[in-house]
Amino acid sequence: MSNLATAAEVAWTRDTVERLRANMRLTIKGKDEVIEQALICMLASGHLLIEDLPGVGKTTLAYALARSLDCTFSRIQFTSDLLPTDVIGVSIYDDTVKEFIFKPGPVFANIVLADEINRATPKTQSALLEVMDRSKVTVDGEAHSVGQPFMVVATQNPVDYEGTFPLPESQMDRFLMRLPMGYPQPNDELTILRSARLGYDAIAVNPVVTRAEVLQMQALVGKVFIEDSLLDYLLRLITATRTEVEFKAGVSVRGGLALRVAAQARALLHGRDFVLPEDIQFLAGPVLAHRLSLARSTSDAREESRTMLAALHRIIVSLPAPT
Amino acid sequence: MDKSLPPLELNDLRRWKWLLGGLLALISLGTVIFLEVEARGLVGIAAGLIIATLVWPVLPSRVPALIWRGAVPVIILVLIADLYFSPDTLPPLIRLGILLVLYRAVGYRRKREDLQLIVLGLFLVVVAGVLTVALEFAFLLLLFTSCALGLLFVVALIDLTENTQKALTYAEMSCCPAWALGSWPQYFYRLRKIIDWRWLGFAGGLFFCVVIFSAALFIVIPRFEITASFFLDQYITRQNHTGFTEVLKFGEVGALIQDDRVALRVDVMDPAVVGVAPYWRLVALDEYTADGFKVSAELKQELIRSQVVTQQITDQKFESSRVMTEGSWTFYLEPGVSRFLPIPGRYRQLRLREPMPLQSSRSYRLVALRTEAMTMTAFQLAEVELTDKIADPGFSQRLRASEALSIKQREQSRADVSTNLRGPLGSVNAAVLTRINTEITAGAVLSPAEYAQRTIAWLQAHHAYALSVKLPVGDGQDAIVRWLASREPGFCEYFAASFVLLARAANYPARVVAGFHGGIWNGVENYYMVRNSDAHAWAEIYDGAGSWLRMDPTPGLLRVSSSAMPADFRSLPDRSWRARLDSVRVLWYRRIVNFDTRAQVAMVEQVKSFTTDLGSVWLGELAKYPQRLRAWWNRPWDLARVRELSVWIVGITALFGLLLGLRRWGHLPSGWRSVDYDPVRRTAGRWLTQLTMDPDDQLIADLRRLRYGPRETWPVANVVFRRARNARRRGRAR
Repeated sequence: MSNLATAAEVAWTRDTVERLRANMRLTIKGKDEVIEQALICMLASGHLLIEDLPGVGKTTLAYALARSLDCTFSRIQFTSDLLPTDVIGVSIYDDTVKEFIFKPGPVFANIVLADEINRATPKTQSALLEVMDRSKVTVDGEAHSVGQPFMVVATQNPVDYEGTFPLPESQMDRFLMRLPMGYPQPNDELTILRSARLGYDAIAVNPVVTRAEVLQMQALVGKVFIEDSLLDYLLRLITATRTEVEFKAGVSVRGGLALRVAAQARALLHGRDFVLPEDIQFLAGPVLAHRLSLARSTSDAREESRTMLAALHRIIVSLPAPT
Repeated sequence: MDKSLPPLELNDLRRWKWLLGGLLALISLGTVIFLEVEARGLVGIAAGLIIATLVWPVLPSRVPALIWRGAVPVIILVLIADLYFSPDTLPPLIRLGILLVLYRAVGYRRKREDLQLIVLGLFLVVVAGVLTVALEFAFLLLLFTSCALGLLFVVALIDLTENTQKALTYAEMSCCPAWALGSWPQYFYRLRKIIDWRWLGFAGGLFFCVVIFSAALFIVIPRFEITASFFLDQYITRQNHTGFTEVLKFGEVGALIQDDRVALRVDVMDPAVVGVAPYWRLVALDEYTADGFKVSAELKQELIRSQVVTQQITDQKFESSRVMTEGSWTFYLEPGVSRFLPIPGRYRQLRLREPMPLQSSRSYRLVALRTEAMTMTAFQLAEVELTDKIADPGFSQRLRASEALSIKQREQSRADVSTNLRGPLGSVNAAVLTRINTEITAGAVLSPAEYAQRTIAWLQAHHAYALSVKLPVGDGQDAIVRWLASREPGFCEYFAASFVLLARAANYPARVVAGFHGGIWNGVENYYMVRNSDAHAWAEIYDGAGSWLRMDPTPGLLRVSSSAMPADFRSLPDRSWRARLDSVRVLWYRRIVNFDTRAQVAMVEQVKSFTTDLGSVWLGELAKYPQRLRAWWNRPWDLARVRELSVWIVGITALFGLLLGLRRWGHLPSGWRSVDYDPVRRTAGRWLTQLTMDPDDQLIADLRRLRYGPRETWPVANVVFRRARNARRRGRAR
C-alpha cells in the first residue's frame, strides 16, 4: 500500500473539514484565520495555546471546536491552588474491592480546555507535560491512556501578570501553535452584540464530525507528501532562527517536526496531498514564535510577541523559497 | 545620547556638487596644458581662482553683482580682440573656453549653469584630445567622464529632492530598511534563484556578438588618422621645441639639455644593430650667413621640386648585399621636433603609414614632410645600413658647374652647390680662418679625411665643452670666427660650425648637419629612446671622391648628456620607472600604427582559418582516439603494462571514491544535490514564477503538483508545460 494519501481521501478530508469549519463559524464570527489554524492544530494532533486579552473569545473558540467534534470534552479552570491530582486524577482506596482505584481527572477527555493555564503553579502545569507528550497519565507507576484523539486547548492572558506563573519553555515547546485571537472586525462585533447569547452553555453547537473521522483525518496528515527542496527550506528556516542574533535560542528539533506536521495538515486542509512553500511560510509564525525567546527580553509579553513575529517574518522574507 | 546618523541634507549635496563642478573645471583646464596654445598663464590664473573658490566657497558671494553682470560683455570683447590679433582661429576659441569655464566654475550654479559647465569642459577636453591623441588625454577623459557623471547624478538628485521637498526624518534614518537586512550570501542565493537564465544567456550571447563584431570591425576597417579627418589642425600653428628648423642659430642650449622629453622612439629587432651612439640625421645646413647656418635656397627648392604624395620611397640603386641590419626600423617621431625625418643611414625603402606629401633630396639624403606633423609621425625603414658616408657621386660635377657660373647666373641657377664652400664675408674673418688653417695643415696639402682629423684635434685642443658660451666681443668679425679665435669653451653647434668654416676656408666642401646623437635603449619594451636633450650638430666634409664623410668635432664622449652618465654606461638598457611609463606610449603607438593593410588582411585570414581549422582539428583528434586505443590494446602485454594499467584503475577509483566521500561529508557545494537537478521540478518551478497566480486554476494546480507533489501523482509534464506556454501567450505572464 502506498504511503501517500489518495485523491479520494484528500477530497473527503477537505469536505469534512469544511463541514467543521462552517459549523465553527456559526459561533466564532469573523475569525476565519484563527479557526483555520485551530483546525490545522487539530488535524496535526497538536495542542493549542490561545493567548490574548480576556473576553475576546478564547474559550468560545475552544468550546466551539470541542463541541463540533463528537468527542468528550472537559474544562479545567486553572487557579493558583489547583493541584496536579485535580488535573490528572487520583488513586483512592476502595474499601469494597480492597485496592486503590484510579479516579481519572478532567484530563481524561478527548479535548481538554485548560483555561488561564498560567494561573496554576508550575507543579500543576508540569502535570500536563506527560499527558500532552504521550497522551498517557502515570499515577502510582501505572500508565493510563487518556484516549484518542487528545488535544489540549490552553488559554492565557498575556497582559495580566499578577499572580501568574509563566509557562516554562519545556511546556511551551509542547504546544504545536500559539494563536492570538485579536479583536473582531467592527461588522462582526456588531453581529456578536446583536445576538442575545451570554455564557458558554448557550452555545448551541451540534457535533458534525465523529471521533473516528477525526482519527482518520489525523492519520492522513502523515501521508501528505513533502518534497525534498521544501524539507531543505524548512531546515534552512529552522537553522536561521538558531543563528539569528535577536533570539536567545533557536527552534528545537521538536519545533522543526511540528512545523512539518502543521504544514502537512494545512496542505490537507486545502485539499492537497503535497506541501507548498506557502504552507511553511504561513505557519512559521504560529508554530515557531512561542518556541523562541528573545535575547533582550522585554517586560511586556505582547511587545515580545510582536518583536518575535517581526524577526521571524524577516527571516522568511530574506530566505529564498524554493521555486 | 542620540546615536542615529544625522540625515544627509540638501546642503550637503549642494556642497558636494560644488566640489565636483570645481574638479571638473580643473580637469578640463588640465587638458589645455597638453595643447600648444598660448594660454598657460590664463590656465594658471583660472586654476588658481577655481581652487580658491573650491577652498572657500563663500568667495563668490564677496564679488559685487556688477562684476558678474559685466563679465560676459568683457569676455566677448576679449574674444573679438583675440580673434583680431591672433593668426589662428582655434587658440582664441580655446582661450574663450577657458574664460567661460572660469566664469561658470567660480560662480554659484543651479541646474542650468551646471550643465553649461559640463558642456564647456567637454569642449576643451575634446579639442585637446583631437589635437594631441595622447594617452594622457584618454586618462583625463576618463576622469572627466566620471566627474561629469557624478555631477549630473547629484544635479538630478538635488532636482528631485527640491521638487518633492521630502527628506528622511531622524526616526526613519535610525530605522533599518528591509533591504539592508539579510546576509550577502543569502542575497546572492536568492538572486541566483530568481534570475531567468534564459534571458541572461540571451543577453550574454548578444554582448558576446557585439564584442566579436566590434573586434572584427576594428581588425577589418583600415585605420585612419583621426586628426586628418578633423578640420581643427588647420586653425593652429605649432611651436618648435627642439629648434630643428632650417636655420641653426647659436643660442643657449641649457634649456634644451634639460628637456628630457622623448623626441624619437625607434623600434628595432635588436639593440645591437643600433650601436652605442648612432647619429640620427635630420637636416643638412649648407649655407652660411651672418645669422648662422641654414638650409640653402637651392636645397629648399630641390625639396619642393621633389615633393610628391606618396607612401613610400625606394632606393633603386640600393645594393642589398650590403645590408647590415635585418628587419625594418620603425620610427615614432613626436610632434614639434622637425618636419625632417631622422635617418640613421642608408636604407632600401622608407614607408609611411599613408600617402603624404613627402619631400626628399637624393644628393643630400634628406627626407621631409611638407609641413610639420600635428601628431606623432611614424615611418618605417627597410634594410637600414648604418654608415658615416653619404654618397653623392654627382657633387664634384655640380660644384664645377656652379663655380663656372657668374654670380648673377648663380642666383638664377637652380643647382648652385657652391654654398658648400662659402664662409663668412670680410677679409678679417678670412684672415683668421687662413691663419688657423695654416696652423693646422702646416702648409701641407692633405686629403679631406686627414684634414678633418687634424682640424678636430686642433679644435678639441683649443676649446673645451660647455653648455653656455661667452662670446668674446669683437667688431666686424663673425661670431663663430670670434669664438674660434678665442679659447672659450662651446657646445656642439660651435664646434660643428667652426669645423665647417675652417674646412671651407681651406677649400674643402663642408656642411653642418643637425640631428640627434645617441639615445638609450628601453629595456622594458625593447626600443630605442632619443630624448630632446640628445639633439646634436656635427659636420660633413666632401671627400672629393663622391662621398660626404661624417665628422663630429665636438669633444665626443665627454659630451654632457641629460642623464649625466658616461657614454658607455648609458648603453645599458634603461629600466627605470620613467622608461616603464614611456613604454606604455610605445605600446599604444604599436597598436595604432599600421604601415600595411596587408597585415590586416593577413590577420583576418588568420582569424578565419583559425576558426575553420579548429573544428576540423578537433574532429581529427577525436577520430584518432579509437585507433590509438586499439593500437595500445594490441601492444604485447607484459607485467609492467599490467602494473601501469592497474595503477591507473586504482587511481581513478580512488578519485571517484574521494569525490563520493566528499559529497557524503557535505564538502561539495549544495548545488550538487539531486533536488536541484530534477528537470521537471525545475521547469515547473520556473513556470510558477512566470505565470500569474490563481490557486483555483487547474494549470497552477498541475504545475504545483509537478513542482512539489509526489512523483506518482504527476500529470503528464509536457502537456502541462504546453498549456503553460499557451497561457503565457494569452497574456498571463507576470
